[in-house]
Amino acid sequence: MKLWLDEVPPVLKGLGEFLPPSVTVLADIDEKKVTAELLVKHLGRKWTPVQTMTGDVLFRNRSTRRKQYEWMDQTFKDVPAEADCRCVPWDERF
Amino acid sequence: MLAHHPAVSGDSILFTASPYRHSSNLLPSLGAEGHVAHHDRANPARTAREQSPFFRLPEKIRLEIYRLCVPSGFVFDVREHNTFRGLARLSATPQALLNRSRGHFEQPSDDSLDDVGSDYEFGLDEDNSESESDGVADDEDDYSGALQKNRWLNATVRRQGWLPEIRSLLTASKRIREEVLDVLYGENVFRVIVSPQASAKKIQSRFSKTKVRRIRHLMTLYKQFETLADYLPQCRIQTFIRQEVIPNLTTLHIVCDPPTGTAMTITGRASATSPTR
Repeated sequence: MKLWLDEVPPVLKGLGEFLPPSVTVLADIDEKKVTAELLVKHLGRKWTPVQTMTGDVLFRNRSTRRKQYEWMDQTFKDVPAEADCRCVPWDERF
Repeated sequence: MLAHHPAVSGDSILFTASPYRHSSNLLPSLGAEGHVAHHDRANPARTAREQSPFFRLPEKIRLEIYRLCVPSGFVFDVREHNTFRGLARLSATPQALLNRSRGHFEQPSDDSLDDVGSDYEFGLDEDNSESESDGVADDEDDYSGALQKNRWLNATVRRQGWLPEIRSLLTASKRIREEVLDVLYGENVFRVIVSPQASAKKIQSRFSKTKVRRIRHLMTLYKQFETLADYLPQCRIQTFIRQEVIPNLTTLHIVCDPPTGTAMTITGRASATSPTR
């Protein structure tokens, strides 16, 4: 499965290329931090966060949603380094 | 202002056939811009003589009248047939919005998880739970307070009585048709689902090229589905939309929901299966 971080940038880049310069971009995003970083980095133009009725339905429980923990909305950039474990054969360990 | 103007006091002006003659001089073909201002610039003396009282009104007022009769400022789903019906079933639930079965969605959030025991369901051990609760982000306030509410309404929140008026106006005269089409396609939002299922084909089959080029507001809707990701290309906007629709836009709405979102906020069940976390 493609990660969100891998999948969205090509689409945003494609959008950014074809969008006219005067267009107003409004974004209704869940998990704001991760997706917002992608928008800033790959769309290449200013955008405004909004709350849409469609987003309310899609995210379903947004208005009554329970509080969100910070770790849910992070990219965890240091995870690959921390998770870098090399497999050492049993015999070579001693 | 409209109520005092004699030309707009009766409904007959709107719905009777106009004496406007469809000469090529008076009705220049619409280009990619498709704006109605061309009509008023073409041969003004002759136009004024032959126009009905309705067309002697300023364009701005005519457009206001059209806006009272046809939808303006609403979000329509491109899957609708007919286009401006405003089907409740296409926006009532996330499943319907994205044309997916119920099995592709997580269970709805349970507010009772806020009570004692929610940490357990999130799989947090005792040591972590305290530090995590310190790091709670008050996103609820962000959404309800800081976020600007979009002025565009889902079409389903209003009565579904537009089609007769739209049909009447579109068949009244060519000039009214052109002006009404600009309102219909230029002042409403069209919602497209970004998915392997072909939204572009639906646009191509439902709208002619000239109508598609009048679209000024587009909403792209995307949610990543883990279950289909192994064998289907997920995130793509079709070439037709990129080439025919996007270059003419004035507003683009992006609505997207990464897989970590609701799955993480609901229970620990979904998080155990997702490789993204």
